[in-house]
Amino acid sequence: MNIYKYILLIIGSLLSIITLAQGQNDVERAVQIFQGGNIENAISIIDSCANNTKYNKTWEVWYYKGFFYKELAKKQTVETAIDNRIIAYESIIKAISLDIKRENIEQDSLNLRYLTNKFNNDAAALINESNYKKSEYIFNYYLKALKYQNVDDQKTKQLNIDFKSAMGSMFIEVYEKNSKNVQAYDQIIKNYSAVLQIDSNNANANYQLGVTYYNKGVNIIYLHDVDDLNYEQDQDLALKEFKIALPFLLKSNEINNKRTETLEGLSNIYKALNNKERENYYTEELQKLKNPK
Amino acid sequence: MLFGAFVPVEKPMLGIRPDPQQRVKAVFLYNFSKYFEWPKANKNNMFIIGVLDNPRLCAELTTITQNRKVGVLNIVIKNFKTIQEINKCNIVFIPEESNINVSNVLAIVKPFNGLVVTERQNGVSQGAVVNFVIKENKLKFELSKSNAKKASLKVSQSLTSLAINVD
Repeated sequence: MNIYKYILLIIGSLLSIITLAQGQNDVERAVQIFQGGNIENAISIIDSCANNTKYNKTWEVWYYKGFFYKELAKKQTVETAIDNRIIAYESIIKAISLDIKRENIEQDSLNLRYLTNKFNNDAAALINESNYKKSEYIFNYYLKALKYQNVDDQKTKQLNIDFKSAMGSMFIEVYEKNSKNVQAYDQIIKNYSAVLQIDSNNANANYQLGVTYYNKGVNIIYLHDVDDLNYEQDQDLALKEFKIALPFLLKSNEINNKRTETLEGLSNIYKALNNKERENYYTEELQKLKNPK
Repeated sequence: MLFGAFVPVEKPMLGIRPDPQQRVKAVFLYNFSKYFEWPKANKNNMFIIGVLDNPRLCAELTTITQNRKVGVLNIVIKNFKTIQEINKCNIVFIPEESNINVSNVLAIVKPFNGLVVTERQNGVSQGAVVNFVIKENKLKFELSKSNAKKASLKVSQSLTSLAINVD
């Protein structure tokens, strides 16, 4: 028997003893139905209790509501379980707020830890092109839930960086397959910019943003109609992107000067900006890296 | 586990795209084929664009001229290591990094009414018909109608309007 069911049994039994003398109440009935295996009916009853002023100021109602929804979500796929896990989380939080004397902290914490862990796993599992918005939604619940777990700010920042980097990284794969995918481009910019908001010295985000802007400029040149000799406007547009890319690639190179792609990008940008001295410098650095003595 | 589990953050890395200026040069060189009137004597069964030692530019030219023709002629791209290899070219490009004397190339292509394109200071005064220059950070080209006349090449008016420093 797993630990949750064990705890539920103990609480259920206690509740039964208390309520025997008073006659069976609806919460007790919901627990019995749940124990009998009819989870949907149990949820229907506990939902009514949660909306009933006779019960909804008690810890038990919210605890069981959280517990039932948590168990229901276990039977569902990641995509469909999300809403039920959120109801479970919010119910447990409500239960905690009603447990002024902290008498049930152990059960509450156990369920909260489980849900926090699930939010983390779900957010990671949904990092894909179709479900990324759900992933972000769940990740925000993960961060909220972490506040109850005494996680320090530094750790939360790092988790944020990891999540946004993973999201940006997924969109890079999408964008690499189709450079006309505007959504993927926007998401790369959005996620890595968010990383730099947290840590402006993040090497990966500086590199990815620099290369994304640089590549966009190059793509403008490559998408130009080959039979059209008038390149004026597209060269201007490409230059605009190169200028945006430059500080990110310079920073990336400052953090890690052993990355050939960064040096190549910098050399090409300075070439486009007609800065021979800087172009030659980065070309030489690139050659040194490629052909060490 | 409460923390982490978000896929490796270092991969994948975006690959850097190649130097775009090579593409602009390739598009210019290809389009020049449409803006000159090529003497009939020049017309063998293919239109040759030769480049002096720049395989990267040749690769771009090969890509953009695939399935394209100049009139009825198939386009052939050739990379020459030395000027001795230049033969029956319609267009010859001498890149910036090449220190080859323009007049030597002119002497070779003259019998075939070849168009010489350079990328250097005073390229036109050295005899090139077209010379690539960077102006306002953009690749543009100078055009010498008098050098074109010497090579028996007739320049279209629309090319003149796109060029800078036309003589």
